[in-house]
Amino acid sequence: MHTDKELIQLASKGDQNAFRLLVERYQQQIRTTVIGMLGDVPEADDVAQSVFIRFYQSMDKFRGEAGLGTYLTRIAINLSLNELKRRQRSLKRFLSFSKPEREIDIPDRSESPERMEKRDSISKALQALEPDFRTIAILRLVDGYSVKETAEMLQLPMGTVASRLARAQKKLKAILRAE
Amino acid sequence: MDREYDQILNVLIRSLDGALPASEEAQLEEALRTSERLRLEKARLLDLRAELKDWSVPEDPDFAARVLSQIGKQAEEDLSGVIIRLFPRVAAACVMVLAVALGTIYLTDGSLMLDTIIGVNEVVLEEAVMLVDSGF
Repeated sequence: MHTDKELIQLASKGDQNAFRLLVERYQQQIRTTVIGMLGDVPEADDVAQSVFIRFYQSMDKFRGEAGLGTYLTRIAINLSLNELKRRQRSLKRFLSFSKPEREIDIPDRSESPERMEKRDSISKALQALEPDFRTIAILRLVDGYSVKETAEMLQLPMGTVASRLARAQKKLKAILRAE
Repeated sequence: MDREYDQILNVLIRSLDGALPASEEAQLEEALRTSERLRLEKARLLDLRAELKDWSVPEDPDFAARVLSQIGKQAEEDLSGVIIRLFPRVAAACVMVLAVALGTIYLTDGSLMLDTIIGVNEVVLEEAVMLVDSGF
C-alpha cells in the first residue's frame, strides 16, 4: 500500500489513479466534516469536491508539515465557512423568496432506520450551533483532533477552543435531550 | 447552588479534553463522589461524545469519480480560457504585422493593388514564360 507521500508524488506527475486513491482514502473524513458544517444539502457535495480539486491544483505547495488529513480538513473548514457566509449573504438578499433548504436523501440500504435517525438528529443538533462552535465541535468531537491541534488549525488560543467546546457540548446535550 | 453546579460542570467538561490542575481535579473528584446529578451528567457527556465520535455520513462510492470528472472539466475550461485570453493579443499582433507589410508595400510601390501586393507586377511576361519553362 502506497503512503500519502508516494501517492502525491505519483499524482503530481499526472497519475490520475494515484489521485483517485488519495480521494478514496480521505473522502469519508472530508465529507463528514463538510456535511457536519453545512448539513446534508446539495452544496455540501460541491464543497467536498472542491476540497480535493483545490488540493489537486496546489499539490506542489503541499510540504507535508501537517498530515494530509489535517491539511484537507483545514481546506474543508475554510471552504465550509465561506459557503456559510455566502449562504448568509444570499439569505439576506433573497429573504422574501427563500425556501427551506432541500436535504439530500442519500439512500444507504446497509444502514438501519435507527442509525439513520440518530445520524440525522446529530446532524441537526450540529446545525443548531453557531458556526464558530460547530467548527470546534466537529474538529474535536467528530474528527477527533486534540484541543491543541484544533487550536492550531483554527489559529485560536487553546483557552478559547476549550471554552467554546464546553459551550458546544452543553448545547448539543440540551438539543439531543430535548428530542 | 446552580452557579456552583455550573462551575463544576465546566470543570467536568474540561476534564474530558485534557489534564486539570491538581486543585480542580481534587474538587471534581469530590463533587463526583457526592453528587449523583454530576455523575449522571458525566455519563451523558460521555455518551454524547461517543455518539459524535461514531457519527459519519454514509459512504458515497461515486464521489472519487465525480471529483476526477470535475478536474477533467476544469482542465478543459482552463485550456479554452487560455485560448480566449490569448486570442485578442494574437489577433492584434497579426493586424499590426499586416498593417506594417501593407504600409511597406505602399511606400515602395505607391499602390495597394492586388498585383502589387502579391508582386505580380514586377514580373515581365518573358520572365514569367521562362519561369514556367524551367519548371518552377
